[in-house]
Amino acid sequence: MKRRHHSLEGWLALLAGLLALGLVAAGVLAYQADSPGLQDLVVRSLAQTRVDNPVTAVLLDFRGYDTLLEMGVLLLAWLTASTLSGPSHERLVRPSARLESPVDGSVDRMLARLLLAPLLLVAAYLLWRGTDAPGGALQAGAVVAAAAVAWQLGSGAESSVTVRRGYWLAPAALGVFLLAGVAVAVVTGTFLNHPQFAAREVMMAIEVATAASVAYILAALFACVLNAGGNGK
Amino acid sequence: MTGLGYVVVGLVLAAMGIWGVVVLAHPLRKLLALNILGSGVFLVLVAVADRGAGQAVDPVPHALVLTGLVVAVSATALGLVLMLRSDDDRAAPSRDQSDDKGVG
Amino acid sequence: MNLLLGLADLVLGASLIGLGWSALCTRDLFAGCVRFIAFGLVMALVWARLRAPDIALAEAAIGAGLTGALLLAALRGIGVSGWARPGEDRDATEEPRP
Repeated sequence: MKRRHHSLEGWLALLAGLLALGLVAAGVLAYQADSPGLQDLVVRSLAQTRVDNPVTAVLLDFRGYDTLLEMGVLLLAWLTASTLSGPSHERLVRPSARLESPVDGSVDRMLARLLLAPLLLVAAYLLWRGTDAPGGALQAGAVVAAAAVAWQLGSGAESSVTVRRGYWLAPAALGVFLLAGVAVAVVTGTFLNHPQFAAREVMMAIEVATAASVAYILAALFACVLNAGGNGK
Repeated sequence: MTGLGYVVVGLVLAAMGIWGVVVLAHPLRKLLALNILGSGVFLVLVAVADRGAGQAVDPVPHALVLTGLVVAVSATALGLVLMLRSDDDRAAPSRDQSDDKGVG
Repeated sequence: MNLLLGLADLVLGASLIGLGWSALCTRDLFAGCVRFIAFGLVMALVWARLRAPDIALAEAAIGAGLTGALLLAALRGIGVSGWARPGEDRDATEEPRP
């Protein structure tokens, strides 16, 4: 393998970068001059959702399709990564991988376990408050995943069992999202168009499932990376 | 106008990311560059959404960026797995670890 | 007050570009990854500054926590079995290690 650091390639890349930069700059300037933005529309429509955090309303109601498809993307990433990182019986963190994990030693292990409870508490709070204040399913899921990563580093063998048993969590968000979309369509006639009287409850159900799926998939992806790296030792 | 300044920073980051994805040789470096490219794009989106003091922030780009962040981290993880597996395949012939490759 | 905020913006923007650049261009891959983690942390501050607390929360958990763990785990994997060890980066691909 020769190094690919040719100067022509570098210049072309620089040119492409600058071109993209110029185009986006022109677009941004034009947008700032022309468009009033969507914030007024969102604020006006917020009452229909009975949710106070506009970002949550956009994620789970106004642009529910985005989040629905995001769950599909995450599911695909997890499926691909876990297929690639080995057959299922050795897919998860093996003791050999654990011994050389970046966090090791009894102090770090203790720290990882100590962190678990406060992190889960923070995640629960974020999930609970997410409908009315900054926070929500994705943040809570990410925090739980971070806690799970710390835990995996602290105790590889047990966590591998947990990661393996929880596989059904991965498609949970997609499933709940689709079910909610269909159920809501029975009432309103449109897929994912939440009716006002149930919007908040529907969104909370979707949020819980989304947080669980995001947490599981991100934690499992970490296990995949650890395992793919530890393979063949 | 804090927004416009950050738009410029975001554009610089995005350009840097494009350059890095094309030029840098190591796959891990390419993934870093891809992430920096993504961060630049997110920064432009959110900076445009901030329309100066006294005005409400546009939540739609925020939701898009939130979605993007989660997708970016899962894509990075997938890229790392791909990198490590191709790493194994390259390393296998020349090293002592060709024994349990491809089993299962 | 405004001057102070402007100065903060300047520092944040400059450190984003500086950290991003050095994450891509330091010779040591490990140092690059660590700089990218720092980049994620600064990014979380920038989101807070741009009145996007939702994204700041997500970035603090993802950009600083998860991505860092992923990168370091991958680095360990490369270091154990790979054709390009962290310290060697670009030129390491030319010949297999003994």
